[in-house]
Amino acid sequence: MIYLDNAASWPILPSVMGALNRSLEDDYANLSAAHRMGKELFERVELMRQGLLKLLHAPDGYQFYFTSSATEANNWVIWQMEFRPADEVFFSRADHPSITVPLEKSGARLQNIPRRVDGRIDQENFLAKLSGDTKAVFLTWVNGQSGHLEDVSALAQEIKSRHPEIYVHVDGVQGFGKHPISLQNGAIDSFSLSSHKIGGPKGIAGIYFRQAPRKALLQGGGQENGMRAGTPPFPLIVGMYEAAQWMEAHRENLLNQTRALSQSVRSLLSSNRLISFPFGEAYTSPYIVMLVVPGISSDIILRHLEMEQIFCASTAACSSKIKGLNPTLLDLRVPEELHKNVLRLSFGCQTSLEDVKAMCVLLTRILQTITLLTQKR
Amino acid sequence: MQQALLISVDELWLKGKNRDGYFEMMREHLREYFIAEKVGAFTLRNQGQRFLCEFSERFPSIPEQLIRGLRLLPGLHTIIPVECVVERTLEAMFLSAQRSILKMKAKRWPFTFKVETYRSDKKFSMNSMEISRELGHLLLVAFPELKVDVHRPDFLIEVFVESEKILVATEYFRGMGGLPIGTAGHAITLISGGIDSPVASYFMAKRGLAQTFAFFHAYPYVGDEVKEKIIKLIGLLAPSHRKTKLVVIPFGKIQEIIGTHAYPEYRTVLFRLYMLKTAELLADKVEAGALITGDGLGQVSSQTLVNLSVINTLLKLIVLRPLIGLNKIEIIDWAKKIGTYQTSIIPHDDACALFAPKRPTTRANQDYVKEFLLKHPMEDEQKLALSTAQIYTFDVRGKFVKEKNFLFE
Repeated sequence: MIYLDNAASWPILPSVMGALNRSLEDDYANLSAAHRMGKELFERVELMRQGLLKLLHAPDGYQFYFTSSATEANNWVIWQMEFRPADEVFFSRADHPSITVPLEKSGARLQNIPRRVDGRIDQENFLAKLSGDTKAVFLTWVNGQSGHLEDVSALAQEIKSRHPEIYVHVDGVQGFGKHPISLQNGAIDSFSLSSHKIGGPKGIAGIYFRQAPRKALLQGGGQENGMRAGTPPFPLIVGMYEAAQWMEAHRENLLNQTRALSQSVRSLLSSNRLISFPFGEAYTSPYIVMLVVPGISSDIILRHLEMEQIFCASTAACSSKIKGLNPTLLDLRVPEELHKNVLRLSFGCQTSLEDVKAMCVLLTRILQTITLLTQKR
Repeated sequence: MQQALLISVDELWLKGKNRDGYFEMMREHLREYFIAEKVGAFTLRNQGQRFLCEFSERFPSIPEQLIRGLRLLPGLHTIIPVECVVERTLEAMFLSAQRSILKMKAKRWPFTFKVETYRSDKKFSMNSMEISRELGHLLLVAFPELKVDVHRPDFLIEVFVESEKILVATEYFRGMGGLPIGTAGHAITLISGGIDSPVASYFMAKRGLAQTFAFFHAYPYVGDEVKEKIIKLIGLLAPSHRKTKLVVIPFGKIQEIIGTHAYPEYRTVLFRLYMLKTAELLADKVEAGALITGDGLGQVSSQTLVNLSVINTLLKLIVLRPLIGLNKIEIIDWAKKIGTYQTSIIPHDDACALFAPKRPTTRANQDYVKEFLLKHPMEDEQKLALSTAQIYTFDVRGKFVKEKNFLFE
């Protein structure tokens, strides 16, 4: 079995599995309890919270809240902004649906962040469009479909230097743990991340806020500083923390290793005239490689690969059910007639060079067969 | 007032000594149907050409949906809801007819009517003519706005004089006609998801042919979404059958071998040949004696006379092609009539279209096809396809009940 759908979810890291198991067994008390067991867990959560803040080099005053998913975190940011119809908000159609969907329902005046032909944010043009009416900007650090990697920290700084009042949110899910980042400059107002994209358990994620959110997400027992009531899932937090620490320790090695994977896919397949790589290595994360096979429907390729025990994606898991036109791809300047011909390979720490090479051989063979059968002669 | 159904069987008059057998098959199907419809306790009494079906439950009137379902059972000529008048007097008949006329009043007023009487109890004090005349008279007195029209009445009141009761009918539904399902044997229907094959299946069901449906699934070229559509289509056909089975046969591998080794212009003909060959194997397993296809002469390249006959000579079983002489528009009209059209036109990925050559042959060379079959018998592939097929079962109401894997030996 070769798993190349890590952008959808990672397999759990062995060290995380151990920590999670131990915690599930031992740490059953409620961390809000008044007794010593509860208090101990509470203190440990606070330590992990501080640890996570440190990982992103968050300056003093930043807060971190645990949520059940990054979708919850992104929704929370939009909801607490309480946009009014006159508010101008910049975002991308290529953002994750947990941003685009609530934004479309928020009533704000939405503007698309301009992009260049290669799908990157057109910074100059974008910064020029910001005005006193602009209320907020939503940025995606690493695009889950194409791997586009933006220097969000610097871009936020640019925004803030022109319009300090603009709120800047960053969806950090696909980059967190995999690429270095710093919130040190204080230009990013909120930053969401998730555990299951870096080998942690599902059901736990989190969000950084520079200042306390304007509205509490859940009312009740006052957990998470009164901002998100509900008993925090202690073992899941342990799992996420362990994954984040593991990634921090291995980040550079892993990035180099993954770069080698991405380069090998590109070099092994670039000679195949059926395949093209619409986006360059220089500005995309090596964890995600998107390729296009013009004229062959990607679902046919996926099923063939699946029969060979190879699992990858066509479009991001959240949008792969949408038929035809894909708003993410359109925003990234992929021509509409190719939207059904997209494959996304995404790597994790368990992906080996052999896996990737085997996949390339099989993919080449499969495409040969499909072409032979489907070409009109 | 007790409601009942008079159900007459079609074409029994054509039968001789095997008449009882046909009648029993019809009775069994009706029994299964009423049980599935959960109508409660009921009796089905044999009255020569027809059944009198009485229910223990007292319906205010027979549910429409029950009648709609009966109209899909092959072998029924007419379905007549009746009121049972236990008190065998003219007065009681009048009251019953009056109730029906008042019900009718809401829809249409005034109208013409006619009373027709059938008297099986010859000892009854009035004869048929007298009953019709007297009852008609009473109704005209009660409703002076109404008129009698003996030739083309808007509303027909039928009176059946039985020895224990009198049945008064004011409605009449045509059944599907034909022969009870199963009386003509068992066949494999090749279903494609298009417009034609469901109509072909319907035509043969009408002639009493029980069917097992075979769908050739070109996985991985076509995704599993298409199965949902096929299940929906079979669900629409199943109410004419007793315990319908759909066999989804994985066929991508065989198509891949054909596509790789055959001349591209022969793909479509060869796909069809191997589908029919595999269907023959399936027929062996489920004891079916024929194949049913939706072919219409000359409709597409694979359905030219030459291509049909080239395929035909390489098959053992008879292939029934009930649509062979129909125009496309006639087939579409039938599909609309039997209710499969809207489902058939739902778009789905189709491997034949995917693999279709630019110029498919319309005059296949018999020798080439024969030779290809000899060179690539693909018996193992066909057996594997059947052994990994999935079986979907439907009840008499067309409800999908279960799924399992088919184990070929």
